[in-house]
Amino acid sequence: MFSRTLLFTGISSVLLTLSAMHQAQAGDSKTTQSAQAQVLATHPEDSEESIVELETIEVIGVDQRSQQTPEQSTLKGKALRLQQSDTLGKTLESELGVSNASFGPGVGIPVVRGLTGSRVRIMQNGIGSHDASTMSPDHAVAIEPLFAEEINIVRGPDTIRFGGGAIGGVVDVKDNRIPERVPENLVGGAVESRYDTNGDGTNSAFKLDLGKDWLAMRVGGFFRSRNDTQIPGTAIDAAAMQQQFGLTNIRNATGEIPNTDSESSGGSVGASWLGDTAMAGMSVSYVDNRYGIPKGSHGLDPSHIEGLEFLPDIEDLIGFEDILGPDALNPSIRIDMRQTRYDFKSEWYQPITGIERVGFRYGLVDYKHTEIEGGLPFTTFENKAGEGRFEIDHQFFESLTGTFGVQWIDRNFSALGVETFVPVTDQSSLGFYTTQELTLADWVFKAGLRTEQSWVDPEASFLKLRGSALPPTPLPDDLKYQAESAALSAKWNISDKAAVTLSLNRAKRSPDIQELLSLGPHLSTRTFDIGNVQLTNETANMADLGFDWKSDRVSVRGNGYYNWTDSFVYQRNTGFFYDIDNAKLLQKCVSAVECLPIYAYDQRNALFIGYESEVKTTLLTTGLGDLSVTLFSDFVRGQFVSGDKSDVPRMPPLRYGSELGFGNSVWNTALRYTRAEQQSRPGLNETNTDPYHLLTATADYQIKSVGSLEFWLFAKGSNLLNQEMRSSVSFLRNFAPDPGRSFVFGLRATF
Amino acid sequence: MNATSSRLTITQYCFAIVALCVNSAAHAVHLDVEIWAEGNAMFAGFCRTTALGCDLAQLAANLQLPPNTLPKDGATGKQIFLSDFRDFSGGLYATPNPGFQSIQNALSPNEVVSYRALGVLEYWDPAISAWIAPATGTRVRLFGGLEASSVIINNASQCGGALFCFSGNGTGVEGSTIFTGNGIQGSPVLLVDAANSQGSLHTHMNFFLENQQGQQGGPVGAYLVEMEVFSNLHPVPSESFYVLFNAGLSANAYTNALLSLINTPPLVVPPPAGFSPVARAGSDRVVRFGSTVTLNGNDSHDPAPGPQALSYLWSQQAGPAVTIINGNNANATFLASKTGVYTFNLTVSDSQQSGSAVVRYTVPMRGDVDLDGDVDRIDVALILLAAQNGVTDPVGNDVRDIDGDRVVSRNDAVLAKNLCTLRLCRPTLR
Repeated sequence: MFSRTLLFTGISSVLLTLSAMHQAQAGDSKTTQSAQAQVLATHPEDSEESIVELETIEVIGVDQRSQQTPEQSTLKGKALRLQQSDTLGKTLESELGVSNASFGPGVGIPVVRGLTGSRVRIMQNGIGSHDASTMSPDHAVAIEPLFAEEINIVRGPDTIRFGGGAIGGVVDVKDNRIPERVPENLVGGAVESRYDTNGDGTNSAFKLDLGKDWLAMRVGGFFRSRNDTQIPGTAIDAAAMQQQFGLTNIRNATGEIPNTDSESSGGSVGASWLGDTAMAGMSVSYVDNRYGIPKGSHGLDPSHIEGLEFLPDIEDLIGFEDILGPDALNPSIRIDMRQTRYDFKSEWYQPITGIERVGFRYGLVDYKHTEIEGGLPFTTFENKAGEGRFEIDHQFFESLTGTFGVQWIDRNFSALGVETFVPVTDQSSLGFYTTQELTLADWVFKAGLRTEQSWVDPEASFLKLRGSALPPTPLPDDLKYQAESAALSAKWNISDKAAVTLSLNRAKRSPDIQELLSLGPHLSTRTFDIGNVQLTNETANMADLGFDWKSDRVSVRGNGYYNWTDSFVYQRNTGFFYDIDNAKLLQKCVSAVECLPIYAYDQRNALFIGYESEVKTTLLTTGLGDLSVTLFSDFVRGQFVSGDKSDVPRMPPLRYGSELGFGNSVWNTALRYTRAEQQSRPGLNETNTDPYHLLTATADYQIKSVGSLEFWLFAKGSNLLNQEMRSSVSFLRNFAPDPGRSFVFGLRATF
Repeated sequence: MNATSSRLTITQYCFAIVALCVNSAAHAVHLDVEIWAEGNAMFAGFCRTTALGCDLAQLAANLQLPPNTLPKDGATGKQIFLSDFRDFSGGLYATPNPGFQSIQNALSPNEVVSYRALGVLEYWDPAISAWIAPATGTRVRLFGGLEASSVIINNASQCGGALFCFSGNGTGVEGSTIFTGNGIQGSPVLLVDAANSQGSLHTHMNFFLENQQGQQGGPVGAYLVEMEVFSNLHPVPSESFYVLFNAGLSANAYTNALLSLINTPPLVVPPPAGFSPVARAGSDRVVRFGSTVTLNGNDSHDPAPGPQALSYLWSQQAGPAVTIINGNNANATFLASKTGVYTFNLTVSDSQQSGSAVVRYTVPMRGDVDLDGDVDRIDVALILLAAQNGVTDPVGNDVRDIDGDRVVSRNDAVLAKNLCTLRLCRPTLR
């Protein structure tokens, strides 16, 4: 699989680069000659004079603040740096419509409009992260937020470019590991270090940009480490445990969540050749992330010790604590994740009239993580994937631009060891797509179309459930899916200040490996999962109406959306149980502790309705700075539309708040208050979450020193009220709340 | 291995009979049903393997039974296993006991053991101290494993694509066995468990007391059910046995119910003693690896003494070959130099007639105290507990006495820990 794809990739990239280089050099001289010729032709009488009319050069300014449209949110610059955290979900949780599905502080998966996992595509520089995070909520995303220079959250029609896994949205983390421009100085870069009082967390990162003439190089590295997270109350919500699992007599922790320390390090090296009209570059990166899972989540009730119920009778355990002590009986689960990535990028600009850009991207990912219990490995997940994309951006007419593209993914996934609830599987997909944009007076129309074929092929022909009397379950040979998606949007620029956008999107997603082929106990979600090989494509029918108004002092944006998803894949409680100690399937259990409910993947129509809104206004402009106020709110409600009409589980609650900011171009302060309401519709077999007040304050100061050396100091206080916050999008919320009060101090030096 | 329940049940008795609440070295009383296979038949028993912590004397004492009384039905001789709905496992009307267990090699690897429910549910009414039919609608429900039943459909094309599914929904009766006053309803046959790769098994069941309204609950009293076990490899079922559940009775009242069963006169008059010599080879035992084991035929006798005094001949029938020393004596010995199950046959003769008997010795690997086929921290903990209780080993065969110094000490626990074979020194899923 890889050799074929690699060969194709290698050949096409070399050809592209060679022709680009050739064209680039030839093109340069052509342009110069033609320009001169044109000038002489227009003004023959001026040929001997020195007046030369220059061609119009368009200068596009980029707003340094984060940008939002209904279809895309961008987080970059200082705003990004103030939000950067240990995980991607936590970095983005203040963005409208985005929540953080945490699993202890080591994991943070972004949830976009209530959707996550296989429905939100998480990418790094346009190529998927290809980790195991869609498989299980305790698997972290293999992207290091510290490296990010820009994070885009994409929804609506533009997700057509990225495939079925983007049906809910896309989170694209850009870190410029393949340099896109030659730095001004031979050497430039940045070094950053920050300290978090909660858990003594330290983050350090550096990036170095080297370049001259046609060549640019980027080297980056980071190191992150923290101790156990501190929280205001107890780690485990005892009442919820009783209600949800019937568990009593739990061993709880107060003040901090044990086993949530983590350490992570990594780096990347990238180099590009950058011509006037073309570029080609590649990078290699490595990330190593070791984190713990909060206790009580993987294992069962720690007071239940099969076979050792007489243990309290033994008075003296000295010399045997390592096998009979409390830590040995309730061992820590840790995850050790490693990922090596090779990225390749090549672009050719304006090769011929009408074509703006021809681009090629390829990423090769080797991901592995080992789940370790009490210091010994028990399951290893591996994901080897290659993803490529070839695009042509055109501007056939002044007002008509668009893209034609092809994308392909090849993937081999395996989970080996004790908790192998998904078999070794090969998965591949091939998609063709186009997006077009037409500007007509005050209107901008966008359309997109995509057709995608995917294949899922389990390597074994049957699955045997470990230790069980259940006979082997036969597996299908090859599952094929064909998915067509279409999108349409219309934007009406009412004035130069206001715009209204309506987008309609009909997108299809093919089922993912775990939805098709799960068979076995899944300890992190406390379920026994059964896959369904007859699942069909999910079809999301979305309508999104957005409004945008921006004047000098006020900006307002809001959008409401309606998403009717046909055949939404979910897990249905079969009403039966799996006795994990004895590997037996039962209709009912005496001991809730030993028994996992059995869930079967199924499909059902679901409706999601929600909105995001934000009003920003500059109240005062003083000599010292601007005083601004922002009001914001977001909400989503998900409900199954047939049968018992129950709620889709793990939706975020209603959120609203305000932010007061004061500052100028040198220093800034802000105080942000977010109120999350109670989530009284958590879904079947989940518990309500309490409302909370979240108060955050930030301050930053920029110092321009000699030459190009700049310092930027910042401080951020989170959860200043030290509230206990349990997030309704997290599976693990009753075992681990969000962190308590924390202060982060950081310094960034740019040179 | 030890049952949560047995300890808690006895503890609960203790609360009621405070005076007798001695240090019940709790796991000493063992109430799981021990099962094993021989020939083509299954067997179910009580305290067959004493190393599992079974102590009949302690049991009799705790239940205030007359000394040397076994919980056996007087009429039929069938064994009665004891359980209590109010043990602390799952509320007032649910219990996971009795569990079922078998030691290493007692079953074949991955053997699938099922139970069959028999007879009718009987109810001991404490008000009249008599056995009567239970109140209408009252029943005992047992949720056995579904794997070998028709409830599980292991075919995606019949399950709408799910890799396997369940017939009916979670409230169907086929997923449980219902013991009623009128007989067995639901599925009379369900799974006990599958043995692991060492042929050992330990599982708990799921018994519930349900009332007329179909909810958990029922009149205070004792409930008696009957069942047998069989397997896919040994289809001849065991002799059936009873389970007596305590549903809220005081310890005295429960003991009365039990005694009423024990004291029922036998149905069958035992045949008169014959004239042949009777061989007694002793009871099956578990002995320590590397120890010298005495084959004890002392209880053999000749009801009608023949021309010559009784002669003895010990021979090995199965297991790793060993040399029998003094095989012509009433007491012979052999060295348990290899792990395995040894079967010896004793033939006694008075030169006219002879009789024979068979005895089985199980030799687990060094350190495997609970006989589940591995050395794990449960074995280490069992040794620590025995050391704390000052257990001695005068004969030298106790599996807990790893170093063979005739005393079970902490040093034996250290040795067992070093022999630990499993990840984390604890049992994993099989």
